[in-house]
Amino acid sequence: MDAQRKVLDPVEGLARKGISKIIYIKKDVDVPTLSDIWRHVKEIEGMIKKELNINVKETVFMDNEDIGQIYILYRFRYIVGDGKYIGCRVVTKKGSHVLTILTVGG
Amino acid sequence: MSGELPPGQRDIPYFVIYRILGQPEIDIAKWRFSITGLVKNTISLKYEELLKMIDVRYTKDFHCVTGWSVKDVYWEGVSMKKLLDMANPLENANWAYIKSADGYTTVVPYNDIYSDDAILALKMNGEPLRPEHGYPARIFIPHLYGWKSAKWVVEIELIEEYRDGYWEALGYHERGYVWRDQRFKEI
Repeated sequence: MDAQRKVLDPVEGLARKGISKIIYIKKDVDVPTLSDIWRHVKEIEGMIKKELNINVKETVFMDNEDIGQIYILYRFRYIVGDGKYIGCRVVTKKGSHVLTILTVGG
Repeated sequence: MSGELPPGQRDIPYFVIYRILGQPEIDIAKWRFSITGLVKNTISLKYEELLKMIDVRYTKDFHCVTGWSVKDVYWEGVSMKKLLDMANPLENANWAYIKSADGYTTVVPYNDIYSDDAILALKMNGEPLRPEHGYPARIFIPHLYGWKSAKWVVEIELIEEYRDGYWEALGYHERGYVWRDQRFKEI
C-alpha cells in the first residue's frame, strides 16, 4: 500500500532548532526487525530525492529506544552535506509501523 | 497515595531530567503566569500571589512517556480549576495550549486541564521547585504523561481547535492518557 504523507509547519520550539518543515509518513506495513526498518527508511530516501529535490549523501542509524513496553522509536539521519541532515524518527508498535516523522531544516 | 503503575511503566527512584531547549533564566520579579485566549478575563499572576493561593497538597506519581515513573511525589500548588474559574473560559475553549519560558509548548484537552487533580505546581517534596524541575511553576496533571506537565510555564492559551505542541509535532499523542498507553498519535 502507498504511504500517506502530511506536511506540517514547525512549532516554535522546533523552529528554534532550525526545523522548517515536518513531514508525517504513514504506511500500513510490518517492520518487526531493524532490517525492515532500514528498508522503509531507504524508501523514504528515494522520496526525499524525488519530491524534495534533496540529495542524500548518506543515511545513518542513530539509536533506538523502547517507549513503554509496546512502542519502539528508531532515529536515523539523512546526511545532506555541509553538516546538515534531515532527521527521521520511525515509531513502531508491536512490530507494526505507526508513524515516521521527518524534520527538515531551512 | 499512589497505587499501581499504568501499563508499560516501571518505577525508578528519581526523576530523569529533560531540558530539550535548555535551562531558561527566570527573573522572578518579571515572571508572570497568564491565562489568555478564549476567556472573559485574561489573568496574569505574580509568583508571590500564586504562593498565597496554594490550595492543593497531595502525593501523586509522575509518569514519563519513555516508560519510567517516580512514585509518591509530594506536590503543592494551585488548583487549575480555581485559576481557570478566575479566567472564566468561553464555551468554545476546547484545548489548553501551554507555553513555557524556554519556547517549549504542549497541548491538553480542556477537560484534562480542568480536572480535579490538575494543578499549577509550585513546590515538590516540600521545597520550591528546583530550576531543573521547572521553577517557578510547572503544570502537573497526574493522569497524563509528563511531557504535558510543562516546566517553566508562563502562559496557558485556551483555544478552540487542536494545535500541536513540541512533542505532539514529533508524533506524540494529542492527549497522552497514561491508563490507555496513549504515547503516539495513531493517524
